[in-house]
Amino acid sequence: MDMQPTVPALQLSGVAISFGGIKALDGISLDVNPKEIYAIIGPNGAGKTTAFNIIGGVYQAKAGRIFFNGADITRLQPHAIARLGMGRTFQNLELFSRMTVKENLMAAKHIHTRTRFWSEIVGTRGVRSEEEQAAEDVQNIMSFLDIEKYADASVEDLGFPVQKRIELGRALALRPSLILLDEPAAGLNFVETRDLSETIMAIRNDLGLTVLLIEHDMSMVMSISDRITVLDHGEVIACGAPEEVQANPKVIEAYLGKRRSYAET
Amino acid sequence: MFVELFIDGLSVGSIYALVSVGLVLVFQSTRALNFSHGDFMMISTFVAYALVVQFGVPFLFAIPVVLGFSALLGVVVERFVIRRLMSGSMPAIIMATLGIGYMLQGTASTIWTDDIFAFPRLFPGRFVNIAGVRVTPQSIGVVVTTILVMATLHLFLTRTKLGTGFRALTQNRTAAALMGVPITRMYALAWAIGGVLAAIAGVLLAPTLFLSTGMSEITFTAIMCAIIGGFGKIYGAIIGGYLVGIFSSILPLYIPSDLQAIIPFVLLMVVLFIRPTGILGVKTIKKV
Amino acid sequence: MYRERERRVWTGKLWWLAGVAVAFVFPLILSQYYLFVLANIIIMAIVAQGLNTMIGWGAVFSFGQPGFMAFGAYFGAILARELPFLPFPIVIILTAIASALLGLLIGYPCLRLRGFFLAMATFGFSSSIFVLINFLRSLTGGNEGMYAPPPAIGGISFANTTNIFFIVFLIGLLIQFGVSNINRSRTGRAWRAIRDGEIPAASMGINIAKEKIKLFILGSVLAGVGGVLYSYLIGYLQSDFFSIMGLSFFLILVSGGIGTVWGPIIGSFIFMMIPQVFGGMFSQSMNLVYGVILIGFVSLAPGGVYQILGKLQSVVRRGV
Repeated sequence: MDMQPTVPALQLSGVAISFGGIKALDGISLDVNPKEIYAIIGPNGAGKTTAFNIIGGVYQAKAGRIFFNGADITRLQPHAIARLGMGRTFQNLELFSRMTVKENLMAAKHIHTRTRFWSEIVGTRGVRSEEEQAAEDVQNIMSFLDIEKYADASVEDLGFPVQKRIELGRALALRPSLILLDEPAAGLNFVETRDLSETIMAIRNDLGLTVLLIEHDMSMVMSISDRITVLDHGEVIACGAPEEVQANPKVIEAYLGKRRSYAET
Repeated sequence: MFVELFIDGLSVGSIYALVSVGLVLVFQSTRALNFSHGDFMMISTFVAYALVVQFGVPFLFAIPVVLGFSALLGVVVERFVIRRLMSGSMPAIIMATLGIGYMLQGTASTIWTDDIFAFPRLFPGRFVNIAGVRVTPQSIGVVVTTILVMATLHLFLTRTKLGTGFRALTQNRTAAALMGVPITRMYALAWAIGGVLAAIAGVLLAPTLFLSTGMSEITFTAIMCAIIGGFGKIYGAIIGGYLVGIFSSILPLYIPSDLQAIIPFVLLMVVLFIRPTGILGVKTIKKV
Repeated sequence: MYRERERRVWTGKLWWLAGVAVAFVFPLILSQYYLFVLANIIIMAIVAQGLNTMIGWGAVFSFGQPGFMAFGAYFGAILARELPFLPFPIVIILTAIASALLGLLIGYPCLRLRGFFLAMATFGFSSSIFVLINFLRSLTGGNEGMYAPPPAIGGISFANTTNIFFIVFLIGLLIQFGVSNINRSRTGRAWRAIRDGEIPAASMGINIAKEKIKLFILGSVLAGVGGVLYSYLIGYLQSDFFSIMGLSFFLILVSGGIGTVWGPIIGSFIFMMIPQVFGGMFSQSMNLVYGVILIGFVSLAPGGVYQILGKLQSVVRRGV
C-alpha cells in the first residue's frame, strides 16, 4: 500500500501552538528525509526553538501531527521520544552541571542499559559488565568529538566551546537516528564553527544520522544543509535547497533583507 | 453558632492573611521562601510582651518600637544571610531560613524559656451582642486592623513611586534594574515589610492563642495559605488566608476536633487537585 | 585491565566485611551509654540517608521524613505486639514493604508538584501522620504513647543495648552498601541528572515520573526502617519524639555534606554530639546553637564536613 519509496525521518503536518493567546506556531509542515541535513532558519521569535520543543515533546502541540520514522509521536512525552531514537541539544546549554563529562554522557546511556534496581543495590557482575559496555561506547563518542581529555572533569569547570561539544556528545550517546541541534554554532569563533561544520558532516556521513538544526550563522547553514525551511512569525514562508531559499524574495524581505550586512560579516 | 464561628474564622483568617502576605512579598522580591517567618512573628511578639508586661510601657508606645524591631530584623537577615545566597540553589536558601528560625527560637527560649505566657488584649472587653450574634471586641479589632493594614499596603504598592518600583521588580528583575529601580534597597524593603506584617499578626494573635515559642509553627500554615491562593500572588495570599481561617473554624463543628490540625492541608490538596496553580496562580512555562 | 577491575571490586567488598568486624570492637571499648548514642547516630543517619537521596540527588525536597519514620516505628511496634511470634527480621522487612507502599501512595499525588509545593505537600502528609497517631488511641495509645516490644525471635528477646547496637549497626552497614552501589549505577546517575535539569534529563530518555517515585519510595523505606530500629532502641513511642525531629535531618545533611554517600553519617555524628558538647552550658539555647551551625555551613561550607575533609586530604597530599 505504501506508495512512497522511503518514510520521512521526521514529518510535521499543520503543527500549531499558542502561549497566552499569541500564536507561536501557526500550522507548520515539513518533511525531513533520512540522512538529510535539514536547517530551520528565521528571525528571532520566529518559533524555531518552539518547534524543537514540540518535536522533542517538551511542549504539546495544540493542533497537527508529528511523525518520527512513520510513528506518531504527537502526544508522547520527551523520554518516550528519546527512546525512539531522537537526541537533541539546547539553545542555552543544559548540561548536568554538577556531574563529570563522562557521567553526562553515561546519563544518556540510561536507555541502553536495563539492569534492575535490586541488582544495582547488590552490585552484581551483570551490572558491572553493562556499565563497562556503556562506558566503552561513551569512550568512542568522546574520542570522536575529541573530548576524552576532559572525561573526569566537572563540566562547570570547562569552557563554553568544550561544553557545547559535550552536549553534542551527550545527544550522540543516545545513539539516535535523528539529532536536533539548536544553534550549535552560537558563541563559537570562525575556526570552531568550521570544525563544527565538519563534525556535523561526519555525524551524517560516518554515523549515518539525520540532522535537523536551527542556526543563525548563514554561511554555515548554506554550506552544509541539503534543504532549508524558513520560519517567520510562526509560519513557513519558504522551503527548499539553499540556493532556492536564498533567491526567494519573501525570505530576503523577512530575513536576509534586514540582516544582509550582519549575515555577511 | 455557625455565624459566631464564621466571625472567629475571619479573625483567624486575618492573621493568616497578614503572615502569608509577608511571606509572599519576601518571596516576590528575593525569591526566598522564608521558613523563619513565623519565628519573626514569635520573637517580635515576645519583644512586645517584654515591653508591655515586663517593663510596663503603654501599648501605644510599645507598638512602634516592636514594628521597628521587626523591620530591622528583616533587613539584617536579608542583608547578611539571604543576599549572599540569592544566586544559590533553592535547598540552600530553604536551609538558611530554617537556620534563622532555629536561631530566633533558641534566642527566645534562652531569654523567656519555652513556657506559655498570657498576652494582654489590645481590644479588651467581653462579648458584645450584635443582632443576636455574640462577638468579642478582639475579633472585630483583629479584622478591622487587618483591613486597614492591607489597604495601606495596597495604596503603597499602587500609588507610590517606591511601590510601583517594587511591583516592577517582581515582574522583571533585570528590566526593573535597567529602569533605575534600586534593587537591593527593594530587597531590604520587602523583608522589612514582611517583618512588620508578622509582628502585627503576632500582637493580634497572642491574646487569644497565648504567647510561646511554639507560635512560630504558623509558618507552615501560612505557606499553605499562600499556595492555595496561587503562590506569589499577594491577593491570592489574602484569599488563601481567609479561606483557611474560615474552614478551620467552621469544620470542627462536623469532624472530630483531633483532626482540626490537618484542615489547612486537606484544603491545600483539594485546591491543588482542582487547580494545580492555586486560585489566582498562572502556569509558568519553563524555557529551554 | 579486566583483572585489575575485578581485583578492585573484591578489595571493595573486603572493606565492607571489615566494617562488619568493626561492629564487634565497639562493645568492647564503649560503655552502654555510648553504645546507645552510637546506635542513635546510625539510626538518624539511615533516615537522613533517605532524605539525602531525595534532596541531594534527585531534587525532591521533602519534609516527610519524620512522618515516615514515625509510621515505621508504630507499624513495626504494633505488628510485633499483635503478632509476637514474628521474628524481628520479618517485622523489619514487612515494615519496609509497608513504608514503600505508603511512599507510593503519598508520592504519587505529591510528585506531580515541584519545589515548594512538593515540600509543603510532604510536610502536610507528615503532620497528618502525627495527627492520625494521636487520633487512633486504641491502636497507638494516643498522646500517652505506647510500649514498643524489643526485637525478638521465637520468644527470645534481644532487649539489651549491645544486642540492639549490633542489629542497628549491621542494618546500617547494609543500607550504606546498597546506597553507595546505587549512587554509582545507572539509577543514581539518572537521579542526579534529574537534579541538574529535568528537561534535559527527560530528553535523554529518563522517565522523570518513574525515577522520582523510585527515589521517594527509597527515601520512605529508609525512614520506615530507621523508625523500627528507633522503637527497638527507645522501647517506648510517642508521636512527639518524631514531630520534634522536623528539621534535624536538614541539619544533619548540611553539616555532613549533602549529596554525598558518607555525608549523612558524618552529619548525624555532628548532630548527636552537639548536645554532648554544648548541653551543659547551653541546654536552654540548643536551638540557637543548631541555627548558628546550620547557617554557618550553608553560607561558608555548603559541601559540609565531607567537603572540608576532602580539601584537607588534597592539601596534605600536595604537601607530601
